[in-house]
Amino acid sequence: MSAILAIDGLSVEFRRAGAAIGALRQVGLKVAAGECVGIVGESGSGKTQLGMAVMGLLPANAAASGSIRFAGREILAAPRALLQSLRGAKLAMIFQDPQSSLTPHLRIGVQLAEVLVFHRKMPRRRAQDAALAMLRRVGIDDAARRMRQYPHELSGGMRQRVLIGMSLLCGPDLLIADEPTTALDVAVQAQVIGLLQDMRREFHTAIVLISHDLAVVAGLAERIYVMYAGRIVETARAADLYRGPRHPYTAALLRCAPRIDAALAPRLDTLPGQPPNLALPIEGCAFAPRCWRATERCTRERPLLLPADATAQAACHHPLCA
Amino acid sequence: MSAPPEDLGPLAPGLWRGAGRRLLTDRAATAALAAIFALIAAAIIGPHVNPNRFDAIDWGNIAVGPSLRHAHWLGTDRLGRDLFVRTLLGTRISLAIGLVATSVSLAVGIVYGAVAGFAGGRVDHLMMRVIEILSGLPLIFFVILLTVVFGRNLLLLFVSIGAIGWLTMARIVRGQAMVLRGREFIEAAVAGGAGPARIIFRHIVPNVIGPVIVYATLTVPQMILFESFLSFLGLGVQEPQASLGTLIAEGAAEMESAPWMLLVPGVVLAILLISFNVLGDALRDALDVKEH
Amino acid sequence: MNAPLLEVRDLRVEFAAGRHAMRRKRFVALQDVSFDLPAATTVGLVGESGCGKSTLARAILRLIPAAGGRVLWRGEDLLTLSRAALRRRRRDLQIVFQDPLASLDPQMTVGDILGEPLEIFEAALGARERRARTGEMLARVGLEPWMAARYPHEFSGGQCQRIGIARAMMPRPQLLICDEAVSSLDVSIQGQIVNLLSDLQRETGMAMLFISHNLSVVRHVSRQVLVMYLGRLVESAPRDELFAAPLHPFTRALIGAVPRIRPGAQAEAAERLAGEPPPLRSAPSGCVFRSRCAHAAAICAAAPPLQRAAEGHMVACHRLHELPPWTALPK
Repeated sequence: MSAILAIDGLSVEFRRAGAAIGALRQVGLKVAAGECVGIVGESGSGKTQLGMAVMGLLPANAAASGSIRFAGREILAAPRALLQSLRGAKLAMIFQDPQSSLTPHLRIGVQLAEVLVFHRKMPRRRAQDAALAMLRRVGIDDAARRMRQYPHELSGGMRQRVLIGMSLLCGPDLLIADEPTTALDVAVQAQVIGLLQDMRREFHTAIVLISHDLAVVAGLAERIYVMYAGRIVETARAADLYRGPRHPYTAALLRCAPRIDAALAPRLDTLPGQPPNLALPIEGCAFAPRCWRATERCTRERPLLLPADATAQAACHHPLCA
Repeated sequence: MSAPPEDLGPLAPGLWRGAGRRLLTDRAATAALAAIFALIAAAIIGPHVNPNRFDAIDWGNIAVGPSLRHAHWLGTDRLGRDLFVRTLLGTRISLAIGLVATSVSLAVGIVYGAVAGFAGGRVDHLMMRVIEILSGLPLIFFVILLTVVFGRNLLLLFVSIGAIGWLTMARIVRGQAMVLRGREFIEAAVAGGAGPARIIFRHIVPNVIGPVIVYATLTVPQMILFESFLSFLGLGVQEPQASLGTLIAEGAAEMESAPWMLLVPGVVLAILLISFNVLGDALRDALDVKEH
Repeated sequence: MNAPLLEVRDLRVEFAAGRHAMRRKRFVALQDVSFDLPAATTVGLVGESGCGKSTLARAILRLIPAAGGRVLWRGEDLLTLSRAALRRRRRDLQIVFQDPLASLDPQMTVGDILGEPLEIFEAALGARERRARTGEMLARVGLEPWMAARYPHEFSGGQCQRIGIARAMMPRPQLLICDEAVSSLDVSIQGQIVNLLSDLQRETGMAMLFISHNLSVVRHVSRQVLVMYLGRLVESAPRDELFAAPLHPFTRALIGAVPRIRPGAQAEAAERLAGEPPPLRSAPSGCVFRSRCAHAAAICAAAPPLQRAAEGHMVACHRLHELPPWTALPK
């Protein structure tokens, strides 16, 4: 399978108030056509910046270096016109907050049709029909009426469905979903994950699912990248990762979140401390101060992301299992 | 972004300390601040470095132009009174009126607005109707009425201008207080057993100070301008006292024969007004925490 | 179980909708909610967003007015207390909010924030003693005493929540309401805060009302669990029983929808919940859940009473005895 998205040595730095914040540090990642890849990390791990960098939506005070190849074409620092023609057509993104991703004063139908009119130069009437068909496909009942409604008249789950439908209108090759279910209730969350699953099967769109919750990613992704302090610390096939995490951070993430189907213990397992300050230089392994397996070597020498077996990589001097 | 405690850097800058630093990096604001301080200093010290008194009449030098060759550096008026001293005196009175009136409006407006905004409901409704009625009254007649009843005196002028100025201030504070009332930390204070007085003075007032200071800075020139306007109409400061307004009024009458009589106080007033406005705008930017 | 510290009886809250005072329509945000909270116990409260969880917390503390019912604190009705008496009583009932930073006054130092409850409730205390107590509390919640001089915005989310908890603990309350107190925190921080709360509870013997939309966390901390839907309590049961044998179709759907870590486990989860809850102001008549319920029948047009299904287990469902047995989750 050819890679639809290939990121190599991507670094992103933010300049703010004289300090340089290293949000992404030498990140490499591959997504095959039609594949679903999960990116998991906590706030400040750089997972959102990764999505933004691919979309070419980094803020003005960000400096990016490295390479992002989309369908074989370099898109990091590509001309704005190229990015604009890709965005929304071949390359789509949905966000955590479906409310702010829709224009408040335009009817749903108009916003959906606009995508096709702009990218496909479709006549408005035909675009409207296509939009209506898409709304039905993403499971919105009474779609004809919804077309005439405004975003605030829809519930959160419905708005997310609309956005998913909108992002799929032009049949994108890659969909980046940044915390698409975080703002939703569990029941609706399950519906949206189910919808993404169905849509992926139907449109053969590759999906990058970004989330802080391993359990959400578990329902969809085939491969998972775990990020910490701007770096990828582990990558593996989803099933392998859950069965036997290699990086202590991944293990901690799996252990820390209380699970509804796990045995109860008197205390929750925790990870002491906090993620490092990215404005300061980090020596050795960024996770070392919170790691129970850390040795003197970890504080001195940064572990490289090395292959652990045919499909997995981990950046740790003292990986678990093996 | 989360940071471990040892990386917090030197001792806590509050929102204010950062604002002060940001303000001083703004060149226009620094210049405005310097101009204001220079004028204040001049108004206090100035009259003492010149031998002339503000009400002394120099019969030998009536309506002479500015020159360094005689003791009247900026010339004299039609009565032969020294314009340099009179302008500085006028600046002193105008500034005092601006500052005192602003302070009065600040004190009354903050308390009134914070109470109305926090109380909400019927209390707020009633308090706002009072403000609407007051701002419906024509201010000029109000001041004229006061001067007629109590005679012309400076203190009264201060109070009457300030008494009207607080209306807008109260509206601004009320709006801010209503936003704050819905914030979680106010709810937390209520849940923590804080009474209304504590909530208003410990939690609401400190948090509205930012926008209020900005508005107050912009109020000072309004007040000065308003006093000038009253004086221009002959309702303000009384002879032989002078404010920038009365000086401009006198100067306007002699505009053709003695233009310096209008120019000197006019330029000072313009510098004062521009400086306060620039400072107010800069303060607004400096205090806007969200941008930093 | 010991005698209840807090007894909530038929608590009712109404909200008004609409801009015009004359045409304003009132709707019920909390309908006749009753439950007990014994000392040294944690009761969990779960439900979807907008179901009235936070409204219940605020009504108990009288942060919003109740339209009816009673909130008995050691037998004394908080809803009828005078304002002054209520303020004194607040010492015993404290709350931790969802947004850690927003619940701290941005213009006050952490020391002042923690010192405020002492100024209010122990006015006789000197400044030095107050400082000592604040320092102790900071250390107790895992922060350093020198942090008292800092402002809230200098701390991370997890640290701010520790400060919020410290403030709530300052007056030594007997009831702590945690309103989504860990929901906005990262997974690795969440556990730290939950453990801190459990430790504080063990040390002080306080009761806790733990409100969250996260069933897994609620399952971990609670002894008794209340389930809410559109302003009504639909089920109440001891923790183990609720998660092992949920009765109400809504509870079952909620538990079934929680994402599992084992790939594939999700798909077989018993009952999938369709659609989203209607807004409160257009809640269905009768059983509020019937518009989304797979088992709804004609009888559900009448409001179901909360009935006893087992010891300590109450359910509001007409079709309680006709429901299929709960298929345990795939292990």
